[in-house]
Amino acid sequence: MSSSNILHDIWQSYQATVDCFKIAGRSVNREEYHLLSRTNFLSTPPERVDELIRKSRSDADDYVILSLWAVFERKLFEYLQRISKKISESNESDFNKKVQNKIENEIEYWKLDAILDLFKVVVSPELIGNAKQVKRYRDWVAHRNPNKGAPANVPPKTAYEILSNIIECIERHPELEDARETA
Amino acid sequence: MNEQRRMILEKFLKNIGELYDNISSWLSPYGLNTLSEKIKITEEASGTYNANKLTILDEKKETVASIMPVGAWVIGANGRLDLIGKYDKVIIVNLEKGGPALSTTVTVGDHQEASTRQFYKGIEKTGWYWIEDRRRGKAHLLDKDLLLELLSEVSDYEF
Repeated sequence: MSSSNILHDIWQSYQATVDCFKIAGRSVNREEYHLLSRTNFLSTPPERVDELIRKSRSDADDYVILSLWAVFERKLFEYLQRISKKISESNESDFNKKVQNKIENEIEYWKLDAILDLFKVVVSPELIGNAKQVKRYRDWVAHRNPNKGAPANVPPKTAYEILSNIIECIERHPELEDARETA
Repeated sequence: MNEQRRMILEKFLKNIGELYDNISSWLSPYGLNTLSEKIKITEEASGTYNANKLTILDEKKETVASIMPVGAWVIGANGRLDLIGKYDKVIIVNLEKGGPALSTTVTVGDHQEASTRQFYKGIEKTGWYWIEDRRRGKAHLLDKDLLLELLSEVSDYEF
C-alpha cells in the first residue's frame, strides 16, 4: 500500500460514515423502526435523533480533518526517522548515531511548521504553506477556543487534496528514496 | 479590520446575495420559497460580522434545506456555504476562473522541473461551485439544474 493510499482509506471511511448518517436519517424520518432495532436511536425521541444525526454529520467533517492530519504528521515523522537512520548507517559514527537517536526519540516534540519547512526543498513552498493552514484549522478544531474566531476554513476535500499531494511529492522525489518505506 | 480584509468580506457577502437572488428565482416555479435570516459569523481575519442564512421552504412552509454561510476565508476558495438538508450536506465554494493552482517544483541537482495543475477541474468561470467528493477534484458550477440535483441529494426532495 502506498502512503497516499493511507489518506485515501480515511477518505473512503469518511464517505461511508456520511452515507450511514443519511441512511439513519431516512430510517428515522420514514419510521422504518425495524432498521433501528438494537440501536440507541430506538428509545430516543425522533426530533432528538434528528438533531443528533445532524450534529454528528457536521462533526464528521471536523473529525476527518483531525484523522487526515494525524496520519499525515505520522508519515512526516517516519520519513525523517528513516532518512536519519540511513545517514547513520551509511556513515557510521557515534555522533551520527546520537543524531539519529535524538531524531527518533524527540521528533514528536518538534514544531510541525519547522518540520514542514524542511520539505520545502522537495515540495513547493505554496503547498507547504497550504499544509500549515490545514494545521492551523486542525488545531482550532481540536481546541475550539470560543474567544478566538475560526482561522481560514478548510473543506475536508481540500485538506485531503493538499496532504495527499505533499505525500505524493515526497514519495516520487528522486532525492528522497531513503525516506520511503521499502517492502 | 484592514482595507484588504474588508474588501474580501464585502465581496463574499455580495456574492452570497447574488447567489440567493438566483436561487429564489430558480426555485419559485417549483413552489419553493426562500426565507432570509441574519446570522453571526466569527472569523479570525475579520472578527464577528452578519451574514444571511437562506432557508428553502416547500408549499407547506416546511424546511427543505438551508444554506448556511461558513466563512469568507477558505483555503483554495473565496468563501464557503453549506447546503444542509434533512439527510446530508454539501459544501459550495466560490472560485475564480481557473481555480486555485497547485504548483510543484522538483529540484534534482541542477535540474528543476516545475509543474502547475489546477486544484479542481472544470472551473471555466468565476462563481459558486460544488466540489464533488467522490471523484478526484471535479468542480461543478452551481446553476439551476445542479441546485435541484443537490436539493434531492441532501433532502430526498422530489422535483
